[in-house]
Amino acid sequence: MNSGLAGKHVVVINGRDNVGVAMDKLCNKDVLDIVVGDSKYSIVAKGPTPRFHKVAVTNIAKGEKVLKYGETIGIALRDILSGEHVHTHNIRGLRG
Amino acid sequence: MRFLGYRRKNGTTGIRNKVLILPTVSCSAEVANIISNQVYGTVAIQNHLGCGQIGKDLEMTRRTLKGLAINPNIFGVIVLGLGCETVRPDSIASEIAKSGKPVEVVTVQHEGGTLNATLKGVRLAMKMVQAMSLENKVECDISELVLAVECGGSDPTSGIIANPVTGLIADRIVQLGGTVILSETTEFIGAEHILARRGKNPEVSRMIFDIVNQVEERAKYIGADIKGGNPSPGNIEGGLSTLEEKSLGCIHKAGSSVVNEVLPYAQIPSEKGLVIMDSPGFDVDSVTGMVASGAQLCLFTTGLGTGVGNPIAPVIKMTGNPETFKKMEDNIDINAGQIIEDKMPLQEFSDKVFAGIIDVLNGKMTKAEVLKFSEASIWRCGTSF
Repeated sequence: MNSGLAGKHVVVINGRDNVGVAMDKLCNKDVLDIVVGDSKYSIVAKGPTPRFHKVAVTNIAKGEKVLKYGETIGIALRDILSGEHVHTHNIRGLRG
Repeated sequence: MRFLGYRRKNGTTGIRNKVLILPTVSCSAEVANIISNQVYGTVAIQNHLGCGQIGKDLEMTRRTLKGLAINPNIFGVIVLGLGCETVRPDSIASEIAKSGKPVEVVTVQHEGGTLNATLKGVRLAMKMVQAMSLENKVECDISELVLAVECGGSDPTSGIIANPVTGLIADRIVQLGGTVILSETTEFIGAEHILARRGKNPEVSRMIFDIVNQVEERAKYIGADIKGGNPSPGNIEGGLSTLEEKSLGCIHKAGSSVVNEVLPYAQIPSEKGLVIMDSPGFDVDSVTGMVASGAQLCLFTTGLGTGVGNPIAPVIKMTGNPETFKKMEDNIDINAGQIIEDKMPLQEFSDKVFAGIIDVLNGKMTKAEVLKFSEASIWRCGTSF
């Protein structure tokens, strides 16, 4: 445990992304340590997120693009709050 | 960035020094294996093709065999034929000889049976290996590296840990003037528009769309819809929400560079930087094709774990899943699951991996090499006749 992070670990792959990936199962009100490149900040979980699923790291408005890998993976079907689980219930793809 | 490698007569750079026993047809592949088992420093490839082939399918097999033979890791080649096969031993040998590598030809029919062919092949291979052993390593630049990136046996960690780490490595190699090959066209589906935006010109972008459309057409021809059911229920359970997210996770292993060229399977790139080679998602076909395109090294990410290696290029295995690493440590070189366990930033971890790659370029053996895993399989675009 070399990084001195106390909260649950969330990896943001690209600095442009508005979602990160939970490295542990997240529970409501958990403190989340968001790691983006070399920088880190904290947010609070709003509701549960399973391990390796996505969590919003900023508020995402309905109709807004959802970004992972610095690219659009879909659009928000409703307003999503920072710290909320992001999945098929609140985003949809634009392809296939 | 420098490493010690083998400078070949045609100007390419090997990171290993091997004599290849190259069977031109399935009918002589066993003899090639027997020779290779006898002679230290040699490898044979598993060729299950070479006859009853026509048109583009025959051309693809020829191109692959030749590409494997002139891979920079190969010092010299013994072409081992039956004699009557469609892939002509003499003609492939003269193609290989243009690279400046020593080449010999042995055919079972000409030598009078498999035992005589084995004897001749062993003696020729012995001589060639002794000549090879005189080669000295020289200082080479990392810009001479052609890295193949591959993912297989993926799980939810692949797209978020091991592939992004590999992508950072790929970007760094491109920045240092080297070449990275991305293959597995099947896995571009859903993200081809994003990949196409990265084409260096409209022609490259169009070719990216073309090879993806061809995958869908081939699937339709055999009555299947390749897009159907993607992402799969298992993918969704694992956290993937959309098709583009799944595909982005796959292509991310090649980083974010401009795509300079789109190559047919097993074609040698004419450009440096990031290039795409058309191939199926099947790992062994894909890695074989990239090695035939000149890759001296393969960085292979896996979620569930695999032992796959290659006879010509070292394969470095990396998993982002710490549990998989514990279960399959004998087969996996790098535990990127440390990113999860130690909350390590991706960039910091990729710097460690990069240092490990330099060790492998300098000769450190990968686990697949130590265990002598040497799978090879040539992709086909036709059927046997």
